[in-house]
Amino acid sequence: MIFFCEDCGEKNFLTQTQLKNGKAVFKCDACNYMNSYAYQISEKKYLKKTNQFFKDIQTSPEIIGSFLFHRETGVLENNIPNILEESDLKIIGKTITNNYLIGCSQYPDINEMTLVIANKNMIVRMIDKNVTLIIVSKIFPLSKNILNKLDDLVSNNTVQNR
Amino acid sequence: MATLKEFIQISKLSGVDEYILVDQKAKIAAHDIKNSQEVAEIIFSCGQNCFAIGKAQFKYLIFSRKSQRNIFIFPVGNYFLGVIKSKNVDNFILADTIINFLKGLV
Repeated sequence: MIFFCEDCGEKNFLTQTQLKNGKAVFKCDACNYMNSYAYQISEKKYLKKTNQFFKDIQTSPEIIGSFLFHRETGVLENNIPNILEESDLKIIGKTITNNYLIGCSQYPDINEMTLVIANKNMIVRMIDKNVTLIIVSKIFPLSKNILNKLDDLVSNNTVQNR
Repeated sequence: MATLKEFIQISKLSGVDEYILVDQKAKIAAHDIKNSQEVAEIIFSCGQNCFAIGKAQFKYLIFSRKSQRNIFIFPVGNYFLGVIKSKNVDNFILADTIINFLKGLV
């Protein structure tokens, strides 16, 4: 992730290990100034809307669970039943996001990915270039009601990110 | 064990617009698809990723596209099959058609 030095304003690329408890702690590459400041991840703008979306769909019998994954920060929202731990979700989220991006590299008009494993379906949409929404369902396609809500959520966020 | 000659009959299935079969080294075993080399890499990488998640339970993957020419990836033994669907063909009908075709080859 990119963070700016508080002293000289230089752009610094930080790894996950330099982000601790909501603080960016790093020595500036340009001026060596020791930065340590609180940050607010921009993904928080999604959380309110997706949280409501998850609540809305979770009661539907077709839905097993859902989660929101960020390429760099990991699982942002988790509504998957306890059978999977967060570390599992992180691996799944990373693999699925990677898959989606590989597909888009050759076919940029891809707008959804569905992975069918046994009798479960993982429906995947990218909210932006970093955030992936994954819904695990018993049926595919999803019911029209849920699809409409999903379309609304994704298109709203896409507009915000332009 | 099916022969390649039997396998390439897949191109005659209703709803199959283009197809490619790649092995576990992303080498093309058979194809009738544009940009075959680039597509082979994608089918191979995505197939491997899906297999890593689903293991033997991985049935198929669909990339839905605005053009409706959706891309399917199926595990076929040690190979991955990529199919581009014709427009206006239902995803499930095509998936079923291909799964039945593959079962018929075994």
